[in-house]
Amino acid sequence: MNVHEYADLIHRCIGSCQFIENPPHYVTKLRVFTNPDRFYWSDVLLLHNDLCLKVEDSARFSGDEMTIRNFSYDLRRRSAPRRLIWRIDSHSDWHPISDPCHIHINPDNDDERLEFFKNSQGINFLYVMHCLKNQYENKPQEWEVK
Amino acid sequence: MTAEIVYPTLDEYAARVDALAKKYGRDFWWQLSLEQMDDEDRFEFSFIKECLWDDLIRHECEVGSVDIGEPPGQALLFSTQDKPGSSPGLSFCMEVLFERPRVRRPHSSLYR
Repeated sequence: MNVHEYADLIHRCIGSCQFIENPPHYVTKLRVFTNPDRFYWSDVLLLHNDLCLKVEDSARFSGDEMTIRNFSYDLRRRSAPRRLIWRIDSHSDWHPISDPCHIHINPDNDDERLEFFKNSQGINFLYVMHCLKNQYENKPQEWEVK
Repeated sequence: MTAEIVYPTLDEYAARVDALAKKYGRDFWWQLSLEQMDDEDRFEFSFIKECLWDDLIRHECEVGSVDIGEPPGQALLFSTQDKPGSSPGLSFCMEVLFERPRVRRPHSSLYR
């Protein structure tokens, strides 16, 4: 997946996402830079049932592949005390896609992490949409069943 | 909610890093550090450092070269460093300090 395909994937995911709260309506900007290919997206998506997803997603690409990333997908309650539900991240730093990334699931200690993902390949916004779907359908997440 | 794919220009990001420098009390954007920033700016500046730094340095030099001029008896010298400095991409250093007016850039449309 190259940078244009990744931006387009997110564009389509957002356009068809049934969990996003409609009003207020606003536009989220996905920034794409070419030659070399780079991607940047930072946003907060307001979701149904008092949830919000904070997205920080940035990457360098080489041709059809992401090579290095810095990302965080943080799902939590919107109302105080804004308790964490889960956060998948690269710990606020740039790492090659082959490096492990983490999941945080302890609402009482946001920093506590579970070393679950062997690498960040495939841990993209499409995967986050899959996790959101599980959340809304009360299905277990991948890290809860393994 | 809808998503829009945008292709920002370096001019827009040059204006953005200037705004960050002003916000965090630095004379120049390349003096900024992640440690001094709030969470919101930190992620964006991390992207700038990792992905746009070299481009912005080049852009700064290209824009600056229009303004600098060459006062009599004072030439602008560049030399390479033996080792990379603390600023990624800044692999040269100026041996003669020079003053030039801050470049006034159009307001970034990225943040409207």
